[in-house]
Amino acid sequence: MTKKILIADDEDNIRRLVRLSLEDDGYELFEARDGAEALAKAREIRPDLIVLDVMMPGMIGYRVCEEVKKGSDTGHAYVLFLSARDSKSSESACLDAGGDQLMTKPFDPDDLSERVKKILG
Amino acid sequence: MGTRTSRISFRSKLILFGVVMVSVVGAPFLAIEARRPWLVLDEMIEQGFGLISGFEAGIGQEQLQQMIRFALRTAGEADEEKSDYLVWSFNLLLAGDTLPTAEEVTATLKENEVEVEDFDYQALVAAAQFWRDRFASDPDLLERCRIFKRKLITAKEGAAAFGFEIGDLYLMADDGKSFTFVLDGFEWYESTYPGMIYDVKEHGDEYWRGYLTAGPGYYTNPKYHRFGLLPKFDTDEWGTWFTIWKAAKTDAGFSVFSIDFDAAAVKEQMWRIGLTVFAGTVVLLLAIILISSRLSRNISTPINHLVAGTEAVIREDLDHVVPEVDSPEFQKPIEVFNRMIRKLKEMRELEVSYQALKDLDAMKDNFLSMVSHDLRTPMTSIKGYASILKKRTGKITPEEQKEYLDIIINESDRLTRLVNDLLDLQRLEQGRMALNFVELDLAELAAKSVESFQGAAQAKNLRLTVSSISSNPRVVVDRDRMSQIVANLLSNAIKFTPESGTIEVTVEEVNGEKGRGVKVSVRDSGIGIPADQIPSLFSRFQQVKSLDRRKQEGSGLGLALVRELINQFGGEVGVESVINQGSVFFFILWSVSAGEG
Repeated sequence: MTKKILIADDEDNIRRLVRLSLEDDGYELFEARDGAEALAKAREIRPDLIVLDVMMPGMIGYRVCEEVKKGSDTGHAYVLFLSARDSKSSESACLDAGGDQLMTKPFDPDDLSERVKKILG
Repeated sequence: MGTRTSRISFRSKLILFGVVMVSVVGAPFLAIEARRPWLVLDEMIEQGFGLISGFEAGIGQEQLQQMIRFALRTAGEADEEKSDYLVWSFNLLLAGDTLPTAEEVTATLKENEVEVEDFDYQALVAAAQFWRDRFASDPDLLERCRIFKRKLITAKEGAAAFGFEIGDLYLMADDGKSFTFVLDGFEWYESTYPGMIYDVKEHGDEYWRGYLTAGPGYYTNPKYHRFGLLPKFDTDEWGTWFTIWKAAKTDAGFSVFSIDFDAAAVKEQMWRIGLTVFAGTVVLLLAIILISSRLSRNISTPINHLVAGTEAVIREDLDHVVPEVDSPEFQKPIEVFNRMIRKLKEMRELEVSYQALKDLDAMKDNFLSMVSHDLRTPMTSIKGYASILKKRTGKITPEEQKEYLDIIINESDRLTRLVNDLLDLQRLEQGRMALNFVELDLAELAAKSVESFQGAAQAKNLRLTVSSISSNPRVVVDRDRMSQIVANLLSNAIKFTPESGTIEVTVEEVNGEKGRGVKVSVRDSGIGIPADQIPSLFSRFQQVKSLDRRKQEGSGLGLALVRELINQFGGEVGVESVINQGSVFFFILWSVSAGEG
């Protein structure tokens, strides 16, 4: 069964970049442009992995992650934060919100591809 | 055990203390003063008894008894209906062998205010005859009575000369049935006659006899005057009196020498002492109350000030100063208290500035974090698309290749803009930005800016319009920076307005405190800004406090830069916003050409 990945980021260029990084690996890819949309999409498609930006309008990534992990339909999803915020505090904030992994921007597309393979493999 | 609290105020205690002290010191004085009327009375009584003794010694017992017997005899024979005439005739005969004429008698009576109805001179002559008949049988008696009366008058006058106001001195006899006058020292018209019954109306002879014979006495009416702090006196139509008497047993019964004293002097002294004591007490009490109030105020006023000061500290009013007072005991406590408030204030100020520094530090951290984020976002695209290009060389179409390169270039521009904005902001805040001021028409500039953003607006299917009035005042600003301001506002509006929305730019004239001005507004139909976030919207540091909001504001520094620049131009910026309906960002610049040329 094809794994479903939800890409949530308000920057068009970055969503596209994530898509480019993962599109050759045989996943079913979905996109969301802000927090609210990400949550709605997650409930709709029940993804295996969410690549989640932190700073999005409407609802920030932490909040989306909390809601996803709480939902009975979406709780199984693996959350990979993709954040431009650095520092230790942002890492612990990601983990506190229930996130599984954190990857900081800028990132190497190959690196992302490898990580996702490991996670979903 | 709880503490016992007293409801009696300090002032009341002081008053009580004062009253007790004055009572302790004043009571003996009061007692002495209260004794004074008694002392005066005692002295008078002593003098009175001396007078009686001297008088008694001056007459022989035989003569005395002869006169008493004569009086007792007359009591049975005289017609008491005619008592006035008997009195007058007897005493006139003592004064001379012949009676004065009727005219002389009535004149004297009138002169001395003796009221007589139908004066009957013949009755007087008849009464005189009564006495002449009685003296005829005992010729020695008349002369004896004359001597005796003179002695009485002399003794009375002597006492008066001595300073005593004596009503009269008289001799009475008691035969066991009633009291009878014998002789007195009165003038003829107010005197008595031997044998005249002493009218004791109230208590009866037996009552009086008991007192009179018990020994020397001095009260007019013992029933009323036995007790009391001060002597009391009988008052009748002629004045206030007290009487002393000395009774002695004789063969004919009792002889009673009695002196009526005028009590006015004693009474006056009593009143004077009473008033003095009363006035003194009142004055002392007033003084005690005044002094106590003053003393307690000296204590309570500074205490109240200190309480007010403590309350001020409790409600954190550290500008409070406890007023200084005269009382030396409280100067130090108040001074120390005020020093404590000042110290607390210093500590508070330190705390506040420490907190401000901490806040500033936190804001700087936030700012750095935001800047870092905003740098990383374009860098992510640059690095990512560059990697994709490198990895897929030869595998992608030329169109895709061009697209990725465009992204890299655009994001590099974005990065450059961000760095420039940062540097501009820094220069502005440090006042190091070189500005090239020129006079220009904002309507024209706004129109040009709107024109240059039409492409971006159309890409999102937004309707972007500009309206302005023709007679705008001109303003003096830096043209490039002014363009930057309008561009920042426009790009924000475009970014936050959903597809098919509208953006209206308005340039209008306003009149305010600073004269004529131009207001440029950019109204969008975007997502809006929560009211609580508006006040800090233009702040460089504050804007990144909330992660939610930062994204709404776009690339961070734009609004901070707008504010700084408008400030440099002497204008003001503002924003009004309703969630999900849109925002209006505006700035006002004041015209200098109109008023100040």
